[in-house]
Amino acid sequence: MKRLLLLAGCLFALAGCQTQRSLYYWGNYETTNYLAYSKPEKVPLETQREKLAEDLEKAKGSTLAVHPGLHAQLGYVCYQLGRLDEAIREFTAEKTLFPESVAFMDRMIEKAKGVASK
Amino acid sequence: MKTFVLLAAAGVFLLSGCATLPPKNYAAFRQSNPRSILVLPPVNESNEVIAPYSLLTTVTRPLSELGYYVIPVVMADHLLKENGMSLPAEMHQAPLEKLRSVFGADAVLYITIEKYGSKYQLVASNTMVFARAKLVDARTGTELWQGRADTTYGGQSGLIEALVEQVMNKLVDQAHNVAAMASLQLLTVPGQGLLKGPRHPEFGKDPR
Repeated sequence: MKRLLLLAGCLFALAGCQTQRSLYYWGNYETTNYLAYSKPEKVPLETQREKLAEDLEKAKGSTLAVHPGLHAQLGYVCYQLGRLDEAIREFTAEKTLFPESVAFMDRMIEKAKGVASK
Repeated sequence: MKTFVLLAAAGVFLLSGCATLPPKNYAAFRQSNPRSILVLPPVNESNEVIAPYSLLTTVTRPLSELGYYVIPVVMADHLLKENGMSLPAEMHQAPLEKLRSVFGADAVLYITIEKYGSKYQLVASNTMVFARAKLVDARTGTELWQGRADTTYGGQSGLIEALVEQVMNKLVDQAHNVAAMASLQLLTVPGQGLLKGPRHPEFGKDPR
């Protein structure tokens, strides 16, 4: 993905448009999500969880911020795996980092609590 | 090495109209000032079944880097499906108030894919991703922006293509890489794409 950004940067530089530094760390998120749709056998849920958790670790170790959706998608994968406490933690982290997500994250937290109480 | 690859890559990509088209009218966009965007799975007019999900998964990064909060795309897709909308076309018909109450986004991005995939010709093959899109204010229904991207990656024989392929993400197919280019072309070209969003350090400073 870093390479893709460099490619893009060059395209825009050539066309006279501006380039700038990234706001966020980007790792496995896009590829993992795409493979989940296109080649799901390559990314079972546990693999997705590992890939997204790895992104979080690397983001935290970098000077870049955690991007929109990373905590949330990790939470959702945990939710699908039945790891409900973790799911709730990640949905909460998403809404703390990105208050724009409050409505959706609160909905997901309620869903997870609903499943947990069964 | 990287510079060579980048120049080569630029040489083989055909970009339409960066900096040659007149800038769009962003009055409604500025007035609306959306902070968050819900991207619905794209409607598919191509022959490739995977096209909507390929393009959908490439939009989070450019929109986030523009300074918007992007509703997590996979979660949104799954929730809409759970609510009985299995096809993007059905999702595109969902009432705005419903989308707003469930997802809380300020604006909704509707994308339609016109072409997706590779054509194999005598000497070389072309991979194309053509798409059009509109951004709608989820609160008022006002159309804030519309745009399109006609992105073609034409292979050339020999060294240049080999170098470009090194740059492409090898974990995924070429059409997906071209879809990522199309998203950038659709959304991020100054004067044609979206305005910078509230999380961008230069929010409010797009030229008028």
